[in-house]
Amino acid sequence: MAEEPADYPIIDSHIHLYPASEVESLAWCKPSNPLHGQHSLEEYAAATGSPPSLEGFIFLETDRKHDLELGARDGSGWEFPLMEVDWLKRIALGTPKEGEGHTSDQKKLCLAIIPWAPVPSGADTLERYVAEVEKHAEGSFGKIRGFRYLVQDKPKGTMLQDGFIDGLKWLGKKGYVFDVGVNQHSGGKWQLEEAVEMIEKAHKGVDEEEKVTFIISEFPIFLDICYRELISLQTIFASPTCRYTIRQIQSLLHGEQRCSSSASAVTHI
Amino acid sequence: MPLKLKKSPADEIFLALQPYLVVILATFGPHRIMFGSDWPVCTIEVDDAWKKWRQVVARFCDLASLSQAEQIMIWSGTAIKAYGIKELM
Repeated sequence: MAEEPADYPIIDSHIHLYPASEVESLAWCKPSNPLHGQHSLEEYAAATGSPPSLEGFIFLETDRKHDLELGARDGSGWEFPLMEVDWLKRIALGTPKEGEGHTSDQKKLCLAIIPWAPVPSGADTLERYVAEVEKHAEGSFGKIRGFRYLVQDKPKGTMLQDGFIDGLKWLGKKGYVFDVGVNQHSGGKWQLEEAVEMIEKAHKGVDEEEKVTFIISEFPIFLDICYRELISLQTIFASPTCRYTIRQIQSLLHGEQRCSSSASAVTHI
Repeated sequence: MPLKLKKSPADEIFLALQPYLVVILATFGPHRIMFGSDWPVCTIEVDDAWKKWRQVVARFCDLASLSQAEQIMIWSGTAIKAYGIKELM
């Protein structure tokens, strides 16, 4: 492609960052992983080329080790997610530790922070957890606009349990968004269908202004389903399950548009 | 995404992804879509992944004949609205 992209201001709405010193706390990053090692703003700037139109980024939690049960009992299972909140505080306030690959100037790039949260533990525990997040985040707490709890590697039914729905409703009441982490690695289609059901449950009987906004952050699920099953676009529409899901999403979106001007489910590409 | 496609220039990636991007556009519309790179995950087996993805999305906005206002939503507006980024509102 010869031409340069048009210069609209850009927000990169989904990135991950971690210092080399904390790689061990990531649940997924073994030394053999190509993503092992420091991934800080120095590396991010090199990857983007820092175009002037890049206004900044939104940080998404990076799946640090945690234990829901121990967290709910005495907070001890939340150690590493809270360590991540500390890390993002240093980025957002421009107070780096030596060798962690970011500068004070780069703090303006951090537009929002989406930490991990124990959503399945229900509203009361979630409230206790967010109070801990506030203590750790200090002056960066205002950048925390929502939370994520990955469901891609969890068993079927996880996101439909009462505690989970209760947690989602609490997030909506407090004005936080929820990032839906579903993807192809553990089954594909059923996760998207279940996510649609989760959205319906979390919004049912809730006042418009307290409905939690869902950000569908791994929507390329469609691409992977297509590649894996080697089906074409026509077959997506012809496949009853996929067609049903697209219709459900459309009716959810259009239903909301009629009664509310705010976005309640959005996706990133 | 197959490895061969990951190694291809942005133009070829765009052509391969176009049908799926169309589904996303038709399902959500530009006011519910936001640009996001998933960096550094996007870099696995892909050289210059961030720049390529930006080009793919720019190409798509262009060929889908999106208006200036719609393109602004995809590049930043939807993210500002959905995440409530106060300093940019």
